[in-house]
Amino acid sequence: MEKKEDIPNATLPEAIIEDILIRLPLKSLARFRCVSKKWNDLSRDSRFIQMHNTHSKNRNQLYLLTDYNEEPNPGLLDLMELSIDIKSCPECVVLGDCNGVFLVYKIYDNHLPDTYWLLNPCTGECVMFPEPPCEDIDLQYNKDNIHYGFGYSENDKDYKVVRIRSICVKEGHAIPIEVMVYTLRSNSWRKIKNSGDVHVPFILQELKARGERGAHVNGFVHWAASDFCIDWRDQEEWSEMYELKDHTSSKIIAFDFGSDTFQEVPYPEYYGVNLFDHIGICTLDGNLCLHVYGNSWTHIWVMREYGLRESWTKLCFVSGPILHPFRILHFTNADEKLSLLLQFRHLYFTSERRLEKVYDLIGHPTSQATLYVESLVGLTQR
Amino acid sequence: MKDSFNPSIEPPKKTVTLVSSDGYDFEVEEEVALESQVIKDGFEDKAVDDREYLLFNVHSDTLELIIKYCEKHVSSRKSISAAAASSSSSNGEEALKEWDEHFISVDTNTLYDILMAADYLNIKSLLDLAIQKVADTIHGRSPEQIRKKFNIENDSIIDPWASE
Repeated sequence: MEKKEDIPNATLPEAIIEDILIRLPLKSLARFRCVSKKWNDLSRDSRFIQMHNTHSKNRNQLYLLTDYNEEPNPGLLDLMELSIDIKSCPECVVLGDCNGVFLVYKIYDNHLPDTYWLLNPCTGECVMFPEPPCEDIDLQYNKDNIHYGFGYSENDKDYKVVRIRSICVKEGHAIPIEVMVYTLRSNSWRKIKNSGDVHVPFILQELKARGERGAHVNGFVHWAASDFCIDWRDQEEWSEMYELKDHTSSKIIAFDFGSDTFQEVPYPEYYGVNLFDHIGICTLDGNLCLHVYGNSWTHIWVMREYGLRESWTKLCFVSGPILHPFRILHFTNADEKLSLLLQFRHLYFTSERRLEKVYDLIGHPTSQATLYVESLVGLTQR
Repeated sequence: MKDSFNPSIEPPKKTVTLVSSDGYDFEVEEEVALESQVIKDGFEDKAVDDREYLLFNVHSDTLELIIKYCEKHVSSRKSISAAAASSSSSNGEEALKEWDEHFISVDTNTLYDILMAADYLNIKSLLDLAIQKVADTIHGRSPEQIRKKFNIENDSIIDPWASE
């Protein structure tokens, strides 16, 4: 090889250049927008952005720390340097994230409407929207049990938020009474009818912590639920509408952002016809992740191929309870040494799968970490 | 390579001839040539005694490197699957990665030649390797350096962060 000159003689074909750009970190990509008009256009092209996201799924992952304490949350705000409004308000909770875009919820006051934000920390873009109007005046101030889901609909090429308002009927169980969907493109909320019939075919698990969120996989958002059929057409009293058995079977409920309907996701065949244990749901490496837990053990499963019951794979089991609810951000199992990075702490286990060490994540006990993949997804140029 | 490697019943090596753009003949084993999807695609239709490929876009300097890469990958794959079959431990994949990294550490012109040849011959693993290498070498550069590197004319009059 005698050619040592660093300036090449050849010009690479466009398709190859595109392939190279897909592999670049976002910061470089953003800086290279001024290389030429073509590169600038490409970096804003939605097909290219989607390809870049797919490619960077396993790279450039950051942990974003948020904190919904009395003090402003430094992790979130440092990253964003966003509008004054969000900075001046102390309490904010990350309710979901998808493709590097976050759904953040700001609590002002119980007597004022809440505010939501969609934001992309990488581009600094953000969109604010209010909570939906409440038809039932009695429920207006009851904000205890609201489940959120945030995700992207490939069909509509649109970001959506689903918000399920529930009434807590018994410890651990909450009946959904209203389902609203917000779409970014319309910038408005819409009420979802109960798929034409009278049944909401499930009871959600009561929320245990603020900032608990639906798990988004594949255009569906998931929650832990129980199988009840509730006829809420002619009932006056919520408590008369259902009958709680001692043991209720747990279910995984999914909301489809494409069709705005609910459906059930099968749990592992291992549990047979009825899953009587408690469950929790999160995402792990882009897959649906299920934890089934009793008093002294936790089983953790991953659905390797979305929607396929046979693809449930047991990731691990650990003895002893893990504080619920949890989201697993990272899992390692090297040399029989298991470690789980959760949203609030890092757990290490012995080879007998007993808890060995616990590290709380920096900050307050209420600090939460979220996985963050930078993206150039645009929120306002649509 | 679905068949597992078994030296005792292996048939005599078949070869094909690859001809570079500057007219040099390279005789390589069939399985090495078949690393190229382009050669593989039309392979069965060609008569056995007519297995000669004229590669108009690949210079002999580059072709030599491409063949070296394909030979290495064919032989590594065999030893890795042999190690797996005898369930003996092997760090073959790790070693191959290291070899790849060393192989692709070349000057820009050679890298571009390899990249374009891999694209032309459709050798996916090599193409990925070369593209990733280019991406790794440019991500910290300035826009001006990038224009030089890709022979791009500066037609950009926009503020990169302005929204349209």
